Amino acid sequence: MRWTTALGSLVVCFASSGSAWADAVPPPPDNCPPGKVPVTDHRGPRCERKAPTNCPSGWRGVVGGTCALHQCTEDAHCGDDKVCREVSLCYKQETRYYTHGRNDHAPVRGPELGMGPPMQLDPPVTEWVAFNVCDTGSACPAPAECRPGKLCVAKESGSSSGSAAVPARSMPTKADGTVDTRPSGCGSGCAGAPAGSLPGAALAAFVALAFGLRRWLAAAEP
Amino acid sequence: MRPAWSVLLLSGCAHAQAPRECPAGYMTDARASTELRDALRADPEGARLLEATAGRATFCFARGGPGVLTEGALLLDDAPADPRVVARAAHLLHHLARGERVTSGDPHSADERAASELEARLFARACQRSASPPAYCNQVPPP
Ligand SMILES: [Zn+2]
Repeated sequence: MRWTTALGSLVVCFASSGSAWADAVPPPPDNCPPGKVPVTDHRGPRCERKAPTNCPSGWRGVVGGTCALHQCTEDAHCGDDKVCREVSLCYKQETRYYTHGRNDHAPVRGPELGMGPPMQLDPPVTEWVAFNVCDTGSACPAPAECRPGKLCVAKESGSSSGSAAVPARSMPTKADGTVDTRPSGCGSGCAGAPAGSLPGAALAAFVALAFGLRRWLAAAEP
Repeated sequence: MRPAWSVLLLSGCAHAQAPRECPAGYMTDARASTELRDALRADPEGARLLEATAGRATFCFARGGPGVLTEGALLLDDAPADPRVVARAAHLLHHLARGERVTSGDPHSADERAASELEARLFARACQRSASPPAYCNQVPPP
């Protein structure tokens, strides 16, 4: 047997493990840095930011450090500390040509077979997808539209029956019309804070400067 | 390349998997596992897959679980009665039964096509068996 052939087989074997949408995947990492949790999914094993616990009412924290609309059809979807309430949601139209399967707990987004590799939808599916809460004019810029929906909202503290609920709140809209789903009010230490936080950027600049100086000194030596 | 070597190398890609504990964030829910096994057993292909992977599969549940297989653990959405989850579990058991530890992710590859077609069949039959089929059952044409 030629070693090049054997090596080729091994490369094929390992190359397949780096696939973008595999559904048999390596296990999550054993350890992650503080603030991160080990995960594995279609994109393979990695460390992700913890789900934030300070999302506004109507949203829930998701691994990766952002908030997602907590959609529901009944109280049972919401857990003990939330109730399912009718709210005005901001929807945009999305046409999907492929499906990766369901990614929302509430079965409200139509047929989503195959949570693994992408499957072509023929014909393509156009649907209204909620992406923000309609509580201010700026939360739902056209062509998006406010339409009725349901969200899990926080119970008012001290309310056992769940009759009093904290109104759902919108998250800020960015210049490009998308929603900034990082929770606010917790600075750079927040689970959803941008990766390039000030201390990290300062350290990177210092390291770059130190390397630059060393190379300059080496070049200047006779 | 001689056949014996090819088999040895390929088996390095797809050796037998031992069942593993559920990763952090997932629950080994006995009731949900039983519910899912019952749903799979009610389907002829699902029952065959359960038999073929007996003692090698662990069902792990979390809200929004991605529907992937890792070393014998099936990471699933915590809705074991949902026809989509039943069908997805069958898809993953198909990979497990074939000893596929890491799949290509290529929907056009033969193994993935077979697994996806199986998933579609399971889904259609799970919808048919359901006493009150969810609305999305009507939107998927039978395979
Ligand atoms: Zn697959």
